[in-house]
Amino acid sequence: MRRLITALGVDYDQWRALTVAWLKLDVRVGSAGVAGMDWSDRSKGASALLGRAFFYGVLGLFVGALVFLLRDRFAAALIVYSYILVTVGTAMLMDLNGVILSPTDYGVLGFRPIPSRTYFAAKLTNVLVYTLSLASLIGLPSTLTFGIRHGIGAGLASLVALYACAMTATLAIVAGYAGLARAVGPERLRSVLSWLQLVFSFFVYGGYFAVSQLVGRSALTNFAVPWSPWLLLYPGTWFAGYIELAAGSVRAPHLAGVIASVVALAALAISMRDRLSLDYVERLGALMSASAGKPARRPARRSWFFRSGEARAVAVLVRSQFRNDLRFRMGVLAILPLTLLYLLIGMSGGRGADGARVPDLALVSMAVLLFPLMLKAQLAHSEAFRAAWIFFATPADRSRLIQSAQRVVVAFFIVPYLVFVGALLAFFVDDLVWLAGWLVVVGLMSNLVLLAETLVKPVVPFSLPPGKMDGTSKMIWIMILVGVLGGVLPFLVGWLASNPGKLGAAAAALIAASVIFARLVRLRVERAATQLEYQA
Amino acid sequence: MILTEKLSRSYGEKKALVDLDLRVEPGEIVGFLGPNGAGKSTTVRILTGLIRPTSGRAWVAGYDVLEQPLEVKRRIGYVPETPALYDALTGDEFLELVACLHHVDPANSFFRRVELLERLGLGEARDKRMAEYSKGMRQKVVIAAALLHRPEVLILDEPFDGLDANSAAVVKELIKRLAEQGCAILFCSHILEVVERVCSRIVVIDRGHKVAEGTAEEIRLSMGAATLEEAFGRLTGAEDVGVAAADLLAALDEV
Repeated sequence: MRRLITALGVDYDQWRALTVAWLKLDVRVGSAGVAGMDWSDRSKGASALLGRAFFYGVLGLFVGALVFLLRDRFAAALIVYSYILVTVGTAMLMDLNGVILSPTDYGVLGFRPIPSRTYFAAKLTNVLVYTLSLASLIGLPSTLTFGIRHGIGAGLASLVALYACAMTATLAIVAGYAGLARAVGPERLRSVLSWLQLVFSFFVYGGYFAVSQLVGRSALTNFAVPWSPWLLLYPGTWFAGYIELAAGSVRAPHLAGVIASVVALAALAISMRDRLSLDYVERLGALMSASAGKPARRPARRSWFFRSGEARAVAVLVRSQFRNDLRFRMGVLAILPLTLLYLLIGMSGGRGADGARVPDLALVSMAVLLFPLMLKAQLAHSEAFRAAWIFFATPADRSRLIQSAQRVVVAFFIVPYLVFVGALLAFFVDDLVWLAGWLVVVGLMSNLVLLAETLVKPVVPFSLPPGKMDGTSKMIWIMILVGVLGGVLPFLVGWLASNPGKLGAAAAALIAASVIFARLVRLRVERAATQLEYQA
Repeated sequence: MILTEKLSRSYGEKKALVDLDLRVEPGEIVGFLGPNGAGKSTTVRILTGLIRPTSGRAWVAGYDVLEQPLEVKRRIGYVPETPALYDALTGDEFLELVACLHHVDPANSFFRRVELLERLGLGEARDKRMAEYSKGMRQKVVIAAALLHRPEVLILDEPFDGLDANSAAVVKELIKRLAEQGCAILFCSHILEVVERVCSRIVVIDRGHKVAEGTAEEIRLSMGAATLEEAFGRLTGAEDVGVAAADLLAALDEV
């Protein structure tokens, strides 16, 4: 190992020390002592990680079962590698971008004699530990299934493809971040990174949606992918080609896919070793000093609905965190494309009675439900979690702070989002009164979902340390939840569409449920808030 | 030693440091003074390789901070003004990490860690996570980390911050002895009495410019002041403290 690492131009002792220390920190963050002020059972970091591993393991078993059920080998492989790409991509976009981009470590280590390449290698190792572990948990059951169903060669090929796929996704996103940090001046880096995050997110979730749409249109067991050269643009097909080749189906497209994957991986590895790692530390330093010299922005305007007190404090905090906290900003920008994709597909997805294209209101509803929920999940964690002492040292009502977070999401995100969706739908829907009623119903549902989330996990905004893979598992949970809702919503939307009276009844029921939930949230939060202690 | 020539740094339009010439010889303790925002931290961050100067040059222990930053970092011990630590590590684990990064021999590293933590009164807390440490305990860990690899140059930014009187006295004595052994020490502090007592020479900067240099006595005499504090106030354009306090109270009354 020492020889290999040294041959790459990395200082082995420093790399090892950093790798061990960072992994130790990852396991411990979230455990007692540095857990912020979440009063829920503070599980030790290790057991929290084990819990997440169990979740991904179950997901892996599900994917493995899918592989077993599908008759078409290539289609099965395509689904597996799409899952791997979307999971690794989500992990990189939601949780691990900070490992590469955050200058926090630089404040502790910047003045130590660590060569740039060693620093970069240790960071990359830290990221790979997570992404390869994720890939193992999700992909190994499928590998076993491929071996049982299609022979040992296919099983081995799927193993190689699994790690090649996870490595390629990881290195591509790391190369994107590090390359951008190199190409763009530190002053513009934050804004350009935001765009890159949007592009990456569209790419990661776009592929997922494309495959979901294909699967959705066919009976599951008969699902087969009609071949097209365009498929080669989607990396999932490259890795599926490995299994085809190993199973004896030597066709030019599969061969081309495998060659493309090898070339991509080699190119990424070489660029990491040479260009990207050499001035990485300097770039981090520049990023740190750029934020120091950033001119102050215009103070937030006083909105008419959050004028004072805890609600105003949370509103100001959310705004400024979005501007200044790179992790929070990147997290929000990672979820935006997913919800926009739902909206896009929803807008063009359905067919009317006359066969004309009309919006699929169930998918549009999901977009409205999904975005605020994922956003609210982002509001709890921040690298500045220690600053939450201010909520404890001032006479702020903590229960109001917690409830304000939910209200801020409603006011700043759900309402504008509904207005935007309503404006789009107005082109398709003739009955505008019905449309307004439908928007109110969806808005109330979204509010109810947020209340339920607050009831389950009432947290003071930005008061918890960012845990590794925390956002990823939340995102996957939400995607599963939305998948389930996807089964129910078409019936509900169909029922609501049939009669304005039913729309009114639904709105009344939702308002009643919201009132009951709001009361429950207040009781829960008030009781819990008295037990809160600042522990950062 | 530390040497800078016309060292400058701007943050956008703002000039944080302008043409600073600074020299700290081996065995010397130089006090580096200035009001808030004067450019002290910027200077220190350039010298430690955390940021780059906009123009000018700097050498530490004979190495150019821009061209040979790793050589510089190998030879400095640095106590930052607001030390960031990995809170989830224990004090001993953090020092072990630092020792590895400085390639301190593992056997030596162990004894040095034990010895330093014991001497600084952290023997019993060495296996506790630093999240449980008080401010003073964290400061002691940072001081231990700065000394662990026996640096040639020490850069201390408010090293006594959070230390109790006894610990501060020990660290003061330690700094003097390190200087006697040939260590070049740049000492940044706002506590003028300590600077006067510990440092052999003082450099004062204000708004990025060097405004005075010499012994405490020389600076005091050159400004015709009775104390270093008074001289510092005149050099940095501070208004009369009585007037400032009255203005503050008046502002509170107006609200």
